[in-house]
Amino acid sequence: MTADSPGRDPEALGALEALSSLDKLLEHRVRLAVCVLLSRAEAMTFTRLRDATGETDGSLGAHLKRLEEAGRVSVRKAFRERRPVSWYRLTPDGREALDRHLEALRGLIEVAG
Amino acid sequence: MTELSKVAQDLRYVRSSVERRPPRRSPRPVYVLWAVLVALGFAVVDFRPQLAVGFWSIAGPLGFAASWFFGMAWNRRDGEVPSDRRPVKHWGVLMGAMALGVITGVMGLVDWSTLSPVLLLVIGLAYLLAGVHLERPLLWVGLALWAGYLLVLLAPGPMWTVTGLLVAAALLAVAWYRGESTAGGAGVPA
Repeated sequence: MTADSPGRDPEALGALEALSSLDKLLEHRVRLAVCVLLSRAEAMTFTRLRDATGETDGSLGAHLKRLEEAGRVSVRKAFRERRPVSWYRLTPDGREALDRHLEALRGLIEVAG
Repeated sequence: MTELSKVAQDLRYVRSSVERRPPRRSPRPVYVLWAVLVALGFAVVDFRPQLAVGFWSIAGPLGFAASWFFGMAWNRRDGEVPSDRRPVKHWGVLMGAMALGVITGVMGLVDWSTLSPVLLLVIGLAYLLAGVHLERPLLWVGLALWAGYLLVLLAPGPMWTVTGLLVAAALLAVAWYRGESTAGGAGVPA
């Protein structure tokens, strides 16, 4: 195997490393968008997230459930004018995972030039 | 689709989600509240100067608390509690500066005729900086306050009252021009 072969190409290796650092859960754009939105606020309601992402109730609900099950977001149920309101916030684990994922994305973009 | 083009598409989606959030603005009632307080409170300086310190000692902190309350209520209504605490800190610092200024005047360390215009200058500075760092339209309120500073110093007549009306008009114009409130800051005290 020569120094020019793909197996030793530093750029290819860098790209592979960046790709492998991506967070599996955040590889889906809706979950990534939700985490980015929540990272910019202390808390957001389901409706606010839905309006920002443009997703349907069902789609967003499913993604939020996965994030909640993974401990990336926490939810608090409240009532407003007797109607239920769900408030979401990013957990410390969620914030850490988001930071790692964004760092990996930056690495990937850098390698790609 | 290559991995990179998928990443690029995903990032465009994320960016559009973030941009779809309306910009932060203080709730309209906060602007109206301060327009009323300023119109009344500045007129008091011209026509009942002995009541001015008492008026602002009560109206200032109460107005700040009410602004904070309105801000929190609007945030809950709009479904977003901002993590950015700069507005509260910014206006809190102004309250602190006003408190120190008033104490200086009450203790007789500085004459009120000298101190009052300087307080106006400081409030104007706070609004101008708020316009730079928090909500752009507040620049106009800052400019109105600085115009008032010059009026109070240079023009004869009830210039505090004129300044109060000018600033109140600027606050109301900003309130109506920038539309309905959205998840916004913690208040806009004068």
